Amino acid sequence: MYKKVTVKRDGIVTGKERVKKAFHSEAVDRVPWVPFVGCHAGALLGVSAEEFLKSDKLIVEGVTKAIELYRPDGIPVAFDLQIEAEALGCGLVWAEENPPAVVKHPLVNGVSIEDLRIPNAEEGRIGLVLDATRSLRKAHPDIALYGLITGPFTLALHLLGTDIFMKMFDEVAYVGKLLNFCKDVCVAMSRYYIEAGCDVIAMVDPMTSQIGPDQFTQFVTPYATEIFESIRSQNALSSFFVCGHAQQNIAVMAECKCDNISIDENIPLDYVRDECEKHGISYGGNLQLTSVLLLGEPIDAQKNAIACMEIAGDTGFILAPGCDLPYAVPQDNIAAITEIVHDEYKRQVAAQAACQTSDDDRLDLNEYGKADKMIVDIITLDSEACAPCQYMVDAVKRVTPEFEGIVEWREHKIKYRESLVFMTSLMVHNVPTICIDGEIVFVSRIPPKDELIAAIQKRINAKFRLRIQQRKASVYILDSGCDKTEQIEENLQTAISELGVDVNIEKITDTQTIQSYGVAPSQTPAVVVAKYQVKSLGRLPEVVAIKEWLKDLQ
Amino acid sequence: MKTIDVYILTGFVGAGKTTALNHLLRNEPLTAANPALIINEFGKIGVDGSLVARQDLKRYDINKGSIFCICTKTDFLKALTEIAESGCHQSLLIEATGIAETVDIESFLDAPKLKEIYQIKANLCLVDAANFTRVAAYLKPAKTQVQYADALIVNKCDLVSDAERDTLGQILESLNPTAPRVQTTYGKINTDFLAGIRHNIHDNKTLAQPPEDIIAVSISTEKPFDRDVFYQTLDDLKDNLLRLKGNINFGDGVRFVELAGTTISETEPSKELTKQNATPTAFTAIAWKIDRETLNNSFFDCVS
Repeated sequence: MYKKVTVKRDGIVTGKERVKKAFHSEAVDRVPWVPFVGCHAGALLGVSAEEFLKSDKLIVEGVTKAIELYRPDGIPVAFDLQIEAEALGCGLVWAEENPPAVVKHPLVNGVSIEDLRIPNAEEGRIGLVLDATRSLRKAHPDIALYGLITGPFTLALHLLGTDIFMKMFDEVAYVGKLLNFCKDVCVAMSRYYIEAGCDVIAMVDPMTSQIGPDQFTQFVTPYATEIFESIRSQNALSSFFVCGHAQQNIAVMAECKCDNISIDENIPLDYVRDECEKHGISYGGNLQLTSVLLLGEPIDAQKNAIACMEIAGDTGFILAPGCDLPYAVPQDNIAAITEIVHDEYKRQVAAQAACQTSDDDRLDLNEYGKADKMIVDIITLDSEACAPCQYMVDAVKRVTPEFEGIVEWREHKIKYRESLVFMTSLMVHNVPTICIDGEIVFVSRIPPKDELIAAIQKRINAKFRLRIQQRKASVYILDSGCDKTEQIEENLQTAISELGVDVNIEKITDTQTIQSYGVAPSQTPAVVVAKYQVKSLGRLPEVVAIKEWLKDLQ
Repeated sequence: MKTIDVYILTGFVGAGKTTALNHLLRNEPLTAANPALIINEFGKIGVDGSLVARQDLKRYDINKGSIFCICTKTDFLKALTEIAESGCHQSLLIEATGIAETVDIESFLDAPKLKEIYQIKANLCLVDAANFTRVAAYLKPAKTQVQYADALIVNKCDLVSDAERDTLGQILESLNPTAPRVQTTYGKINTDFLAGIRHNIHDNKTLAQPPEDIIAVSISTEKPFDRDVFYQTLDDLKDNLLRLKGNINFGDGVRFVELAGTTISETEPSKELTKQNATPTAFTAIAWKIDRETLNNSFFDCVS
């Protein structure tokens, strides 16, 4: 007899292991990331939600594409809460960019509960979703696969419609019987998914957000508890998904003995964290679907993810959107979250950038870079702590001596507030970045020596050209009533015209002004030349810029 | 930019929203303001839609039901953006599903860029006089829709007794003391009444005291009830009990008891119902101004 031994490479944790550990509230190397890619995978393939959700081949392709793009630790096979309803005879209306909606409820259209049968593994679209599960399982053994089942209360609403809210008073026993049937469907569906290879069964019961904890305890708890018990007995993990205003039910949900609760943005994450920790279970959520993931920018998505991770801490938490990702969610927004999940350094940068700096804090740096010296600013997280930052600082350090004192460099560590203000004022979004005289030149890339020298030289040339264009000068004749003054003025005029330069001549006779030049009236006539340079026009220069100008005068 | 006036209609299925919608569409001020329609009725696509009187109007069906409340947001924002960009509507009428949260709909209209365009004129909640207390004990939005309304239109008043109407008035007053109330039949809404409504922003709405909750308890027991004690209990709880329905075993056989408003009836139970019940006594009571435990205890005290 040979014993099968799984050999694991040292230190490599698979997504599946990470999800499992988080479910058991054990320490993980980083937060597990489970993007709920549903019909959005259809968008990734350029097909409609309807085409996507009706084809096992497209589901496999779409989910595979999402795995490549978003590098998740876990992913659902199909996010469609109408699969069971359809198999049970509910009428569906299909949409381009949404999962289908139930529009016809069999129990108000002549069908009785006794007529309903638990669907087998082939009925409706169940077979194709299970086929997709098996293919994905084979292709991605290291990812936690989520099988999604419609929770008993939501399924009951699909079957009966809103009449259920009347029957909860009128016919309690009937509602009980219906929920018991729905529970049996849930148990069967979870078994199908587990047998096809799912690691996690997510029971999604959004309609429970419509009732209070008393009704939940009466109409949901007994059935949900049995479903989770059945999942546990098959050694799979369970998650209870809810969306909407369901804060009132989190405590009673946690008592249903699920391993995890997943919520959306309608419930504060810290509330769920505290409730779940009290019950010794894990939780997940609650990235904002519409306002951030769909309509925001990648940086907004990252900020939102960081906010979730900061509230949740290290253990017992799964980073996930609140619900099915919208069909048209921009790939870049989800990929931006993947980046900070996988890269601790990028996360720190985004976290720093996320610190709110108000517009009032922003410096006006238009005057920056008008000093004689060339200023090279390096925006870093901290060159002592982060390798790319260190290489960038070293690169600049090596090059500056070649310019023999014309180039000055400075590092701005954005862990300090003033550096962060400086960074945002220069419109820098990535770290590390090199700015030359306040202009962004190299972003997240360490330039080779020659390239950096060329960039600095280019700026020196540009500055020199500008300097020549802007040069202005005056000649003052300090005069306290002497007959030589006229001759001096004549000579100056001749010199100016012979040289063809743009210089004013000004005669000063006021005794006090003459003295302000350090000349006594007895020493007149005297000639003073002054050179001007326009540093700022029509605006208020910042102190940081003025300091650079003043240094040139020393 | 021109603003668009928004009227929101909420209320549970059967409260008469579609009738009220048609009434509004045929009268001032909407009739002249080229309204766009957003219809968000759970699981009834195409059914309610076909009942809308003016088929010429631009209509958006939000079809995900509010089953995924947040996902509905995407569709809502899309419709609101399209309506704003078309530039040809001066008004918008939203018929919300009975299971929608008013605060969600108001938050969609408060989204960046949209809030400068849309201006909520009135958020009207239709209340079904005959069924409100039945649903409110179970369905959370049935209560919150009343709480967040700018005006309450109590419909189907002809179907209830004066006493029931008074009690309903007290319940609505407790849930929302500031909203003007009007009683109506067939969903008619007076134009002057509509013009007098002020939209309330509910961000920090504070009530002088929290509304009295409407609760439901289900009693199920093998033990027989003492009829006299039971009827005495009903009398003692007459200010609290709103409804009661179900089978009660009084020792001499199981009876079907129903209390609606002030009327109590006792009849032969249906075989079907009796068969479904796990115990001979199995009934449900809906009450208010009383806590669950006290109500439960009052009924268990009827055990002989």
